[in-house]
Amino acid sequence: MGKGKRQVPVRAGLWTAPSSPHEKPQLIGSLCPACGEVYFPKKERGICIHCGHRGLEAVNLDRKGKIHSFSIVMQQPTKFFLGKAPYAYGWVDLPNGRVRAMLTDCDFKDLKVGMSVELVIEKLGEDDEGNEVLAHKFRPVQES
Amino acid sequence: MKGLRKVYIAGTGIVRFQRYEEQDYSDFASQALLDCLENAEMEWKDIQAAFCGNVYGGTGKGHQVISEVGLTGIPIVNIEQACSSSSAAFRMAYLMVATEIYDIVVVLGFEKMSRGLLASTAFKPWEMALGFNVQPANYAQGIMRYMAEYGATEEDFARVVMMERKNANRNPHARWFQSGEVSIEEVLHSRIIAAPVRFLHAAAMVDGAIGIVLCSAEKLKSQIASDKKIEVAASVHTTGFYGEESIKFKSNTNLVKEAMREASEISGYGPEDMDVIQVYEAMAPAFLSDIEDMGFCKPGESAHLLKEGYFEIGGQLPANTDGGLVGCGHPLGATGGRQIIEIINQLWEKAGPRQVQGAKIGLCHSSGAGPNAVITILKR
Repeated sequence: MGKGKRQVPVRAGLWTAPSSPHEKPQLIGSLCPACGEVYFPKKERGICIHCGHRGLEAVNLDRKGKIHSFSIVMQQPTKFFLGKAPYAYGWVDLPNGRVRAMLTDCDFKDLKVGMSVELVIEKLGEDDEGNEVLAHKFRPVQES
Repeated sequence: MKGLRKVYIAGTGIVRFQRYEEQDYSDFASQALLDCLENAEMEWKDIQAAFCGNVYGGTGKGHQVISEVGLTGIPIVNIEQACSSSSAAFRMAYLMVATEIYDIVVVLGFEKMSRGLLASTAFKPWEMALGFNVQPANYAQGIMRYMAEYGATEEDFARVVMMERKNANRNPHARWFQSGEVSIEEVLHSRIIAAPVRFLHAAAMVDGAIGIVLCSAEKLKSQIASDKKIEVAASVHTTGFYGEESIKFKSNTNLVKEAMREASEISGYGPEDMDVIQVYEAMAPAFLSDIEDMGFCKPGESAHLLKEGYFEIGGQLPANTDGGLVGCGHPLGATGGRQIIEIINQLWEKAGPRQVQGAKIGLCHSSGAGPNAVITILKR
């Protein structure tokens, strides 16, 4: 192994790995073909806990949505947290599902319920082995 | 529930909610156990089963507490349901007597708390790496929505704190007993811990313990328990589920509403029948939405009622008369039982300066990560 830091996701399988620089990553969820429910992250057992259907399908979630709710945490939480306080996280409504994610790239004072945001994959912090840990976050975008 | 025999409150015990720096949890929790036995005029040998609510203690914690008082070979069951641990334990104890498996059982609840932000372990490791397990921030998500939907203000939240600290000031078992009252300004100027949740909104992390003895009618012993018989009219426990609003938006499921519906069906009593209530609010702003979810008023109406004094002692529907979580402090495993004990004190007319005149029916709501909702209705 070289000395360069490796980049590792906070958890495997949360988002797509773009095959070219023109593509952007998307969160991977599960879609129930029977009732239409969407889950993020994907349900490993493939079972829809809404209608009971077995055989959920992988679905790429839209990259843009709106903030449903959020909070700004002012002090460091447990030792398991890999980022730095203060930090913001909330629920983001995407056209095909609601996901919980950190919010980034903004002055936290400007965050508002209903604000338009888009997905970015960004550094969260470093793990015990010095790897750079990546996480899915949302950042504000101009309304188009 | 049909076909169940009636179950009564035999006795209660509670130690003051505060830091017990020099004590192990088995020290102060065994005191609460001794107190509830004495209050019931019973001895340990009368107890046939024990249900113990605790979150952070580790394995066999109820056994450790009880071994300070007795060793009789009875089943001791440790129950972890986060902040609703001892109310869930109360329900199991109730069911054991109601189904005639035992005649006398005890509920214990106890906790020794750490310091700092209340962290939940009901999250996966990667979610904790992302810092999603901060309970004040998770409350804040719902509070932020509530503000957006109903226009609730910081002043509204501050009034919850004011009322609860005022009640706690008169409760010898509360963390904030005789600590004076707080003003709106003090709350508004306290530091933000997880926006919009402020330091004074959050229940203090303190240690504490409770004990409650439940029994069948013929086993009641003490004067007060026999003269002012308090019956368990309903004890309901719900967890997360998919509801009609939930397609694609699972956080909308409302287990509190469902618990209330079941409790009303079982007891025959609705929100309008309650003389006194206990509402779970580890963060003060949650008081407003919980009151509405249980149907005590219309959505968006509680802040206005609070301002008018509706939920004060002497108001139309006194709530959190002992100070609630904000006034008493929040030792997780003891909180649910502490809430139930205040309703018992009110129905026994033993609440002293906090007494709600003529209280006959009371309701206790508690929540816990999981999610869990437990609703208990008691009547005299």
